[in-house]
Amino acid sequence: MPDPSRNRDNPAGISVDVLIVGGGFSGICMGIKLLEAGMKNFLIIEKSEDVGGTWYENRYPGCACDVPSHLYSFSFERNPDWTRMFASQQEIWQYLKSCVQRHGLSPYIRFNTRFQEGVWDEAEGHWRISAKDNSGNNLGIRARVLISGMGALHVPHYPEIPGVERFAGPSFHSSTWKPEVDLRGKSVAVVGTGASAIQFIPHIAPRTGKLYVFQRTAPWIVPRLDFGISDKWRERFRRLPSLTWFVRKFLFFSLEWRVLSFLGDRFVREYLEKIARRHLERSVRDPNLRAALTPRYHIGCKRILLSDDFYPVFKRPNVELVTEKISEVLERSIVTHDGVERPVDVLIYGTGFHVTDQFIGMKLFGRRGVEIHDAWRNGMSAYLGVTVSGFPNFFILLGPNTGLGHNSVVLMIEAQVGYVIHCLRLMRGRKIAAMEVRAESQKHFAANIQNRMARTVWQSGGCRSWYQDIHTGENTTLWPGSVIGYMREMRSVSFSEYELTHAFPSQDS
Amino acid sequence: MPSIQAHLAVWITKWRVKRRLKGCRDYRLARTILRPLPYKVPTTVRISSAQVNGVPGEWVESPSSGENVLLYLHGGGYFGCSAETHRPVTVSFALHGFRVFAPNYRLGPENRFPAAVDDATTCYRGLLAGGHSPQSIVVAGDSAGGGLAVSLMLVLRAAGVPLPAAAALFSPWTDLAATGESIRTNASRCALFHGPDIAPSARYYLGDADPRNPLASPLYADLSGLPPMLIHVSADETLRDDSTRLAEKARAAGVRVELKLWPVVPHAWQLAPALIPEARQSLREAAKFLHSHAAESDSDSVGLAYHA
Repeated sequence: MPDPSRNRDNPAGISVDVLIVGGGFSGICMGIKLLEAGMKNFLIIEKSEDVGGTWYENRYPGCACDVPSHLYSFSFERNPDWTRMFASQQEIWQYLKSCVQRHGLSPYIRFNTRFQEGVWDEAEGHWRISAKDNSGNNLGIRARVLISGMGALHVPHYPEIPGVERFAGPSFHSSTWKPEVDLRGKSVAVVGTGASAIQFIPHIAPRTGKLYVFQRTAPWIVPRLDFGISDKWRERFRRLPSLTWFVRKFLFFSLEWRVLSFLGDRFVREYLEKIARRHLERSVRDPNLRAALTPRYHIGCKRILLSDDFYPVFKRPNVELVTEKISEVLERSIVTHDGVERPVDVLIYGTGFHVTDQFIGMKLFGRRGVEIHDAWRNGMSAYLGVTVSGFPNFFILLGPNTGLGHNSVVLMIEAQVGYVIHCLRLMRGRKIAAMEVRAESQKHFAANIQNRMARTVWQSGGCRSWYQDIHTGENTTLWPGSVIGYMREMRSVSFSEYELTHAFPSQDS
Repeated sequence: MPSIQAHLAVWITKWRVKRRLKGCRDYRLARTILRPLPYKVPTTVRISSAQVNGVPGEWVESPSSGENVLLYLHGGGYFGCSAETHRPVTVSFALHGFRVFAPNYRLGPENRFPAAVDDATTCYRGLLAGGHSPQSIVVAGDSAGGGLAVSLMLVLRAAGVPLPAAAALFSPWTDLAATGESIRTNASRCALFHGPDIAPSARYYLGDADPRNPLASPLYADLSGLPPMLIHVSADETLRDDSTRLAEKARAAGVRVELKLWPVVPHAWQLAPALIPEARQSLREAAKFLHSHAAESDSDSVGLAYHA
């Protein structure tokens, strides 16, 4: 058996069967399942100093999940101890840490190690990866199989506003929150009203002297219906683990039907819009403000947000909604197109992440030296969201077109991890040195996806969103179907869609 | 992720069948062990005994059956089972829009190789003579029936008879010499077979014939010129490599092959569509594949949900 501790401490060349990049939900799930499958020669590299990925990095006030926690967790690690319906970042992070600990995964994780470049070595049939640790030392890793667990929501996206570099006060992105910046009594500007922004705005509003919320497009917001789970219930969950299974199933199906509205079902869509509109009307009385907060596109086109405390924030005298476009940023103020200048001490970006350009800032060279960004010139695409033609033995977790707007992505991760394990088993069983999806299979899959996409609300709902590729406008991030449908597709491996290289020339007949 | 039902089915088959089948060298006993679960035919499906060109069997039809005819060759190691035992599969195909004929081809050891191949060929010729165009005929089979379906096409190709439009093979047994790696590596995982039993059990059918005869083990045949094939096989069964190697050879010979590997499920799991969701999915995909390659593609019946 390989010694995992050697992998962690040996600064020189490391050689493993499987290298997983990223120690978030995907990486941890992959690691646990590899251990369960008895494939112990693997390594996880993580760029920060702890596990958790998104749930470690995003630490802004009020950060929480907007999928019920009993569902936003592993099916094989159901947690009876969730204290809330929608757990906070802290609690989810603790959950992930406990998963790592319970499965003895920590020896397999190398922290402070950032993936830099991967090159497929055709002759040797493995990936040559170079990573960098915190002190700038280069680290070479050889791996037969490379698995990306890098996810989509971690590279902050900053808007292009003239003059931002001039701004003299503190400024930061929601995912790089600076808790040391004191907001008390300050004049704070928040750019963006997306999923992160509506979570932290209600938390910082009471502290600030003046809070300007710069909104480009109004989001659809539905009631969150969050509640604490009492000790009594947690005790029951602990005593009867099958109860959490039922809760999971119930939550799953109560979220799953909403996909119909995305796929073009008018009835479901209008029902959801009615819920959201009533939520707005009940919380905001001022007709002007209400009009400004009313979205002008179909619900679901952009991510549907959940919040009970965002709308009421505008009742506070110190909070102002600004829908006018920002024309420039000065040293201590922000000027909008209508010429109004607002004094600002702190600037916070709630402007989301780079989603449609995965692997930003890194390089991956596949067969014939093709770099993945070149392969994805016309938008990213992967067969089943997992494998990419030209990149043998490379699997992506939460890759292109496998995000969700209506249900828990952890379900998608588990389906993909199951698929990858299935592939690895087959590679071992059939002595396959390299497997690579055929170009035509990937193309066929992508065409099918975009075909199904055309009718969805994301493409026809009258908005532009981070779901869409910046250049082509195609939706390359979401799965245009139900989770049940995806799980079904991931249940089996269509081997004939793959180009297989046998380790030994076939001896048969 | 494999369904819970698939795990359950494996557990049941291991306990009810594999345990008793292990080391069994008596074909009569093996026949009784392989007797499948009782099955109730849906009321909308009509089953009628018939002979096609002298080969006895049964027609299975449903109200949604169109013009496409499916010749279904049942499995059972060339010595067991019958058209009747494989009704869960034939009924499902009938509900998916096929007129299904399932012949009771002669079985070993009473009737040895090449009796089964002869019967299948006679039956196919009978369908042609009955006015069905080869473009509207498709063949399918599971286990031994899958291997037989390929052998049938090889005989037809050699005789210059027009080939069927497509073939669907479920866990086909294509190598009676039992040389597949998976026979050893999947021995404990397989829900049904004990690896070392495979080669001896082929003797019921083969007698003294060479197990590498291409008409007994189509894996050893030249596969060029065959119609598109869909192969579904369990990743964890002993006969896995009978499929993977056949697919590789067929593809190399220029045949269109769709090979799909399913984790966990038992050998020929399509026989239990009521229990295993993977069986329903596999049968649905196979029906869609066969319809899409048959001339009389009846788009209405494609994708019809399975009700049983």
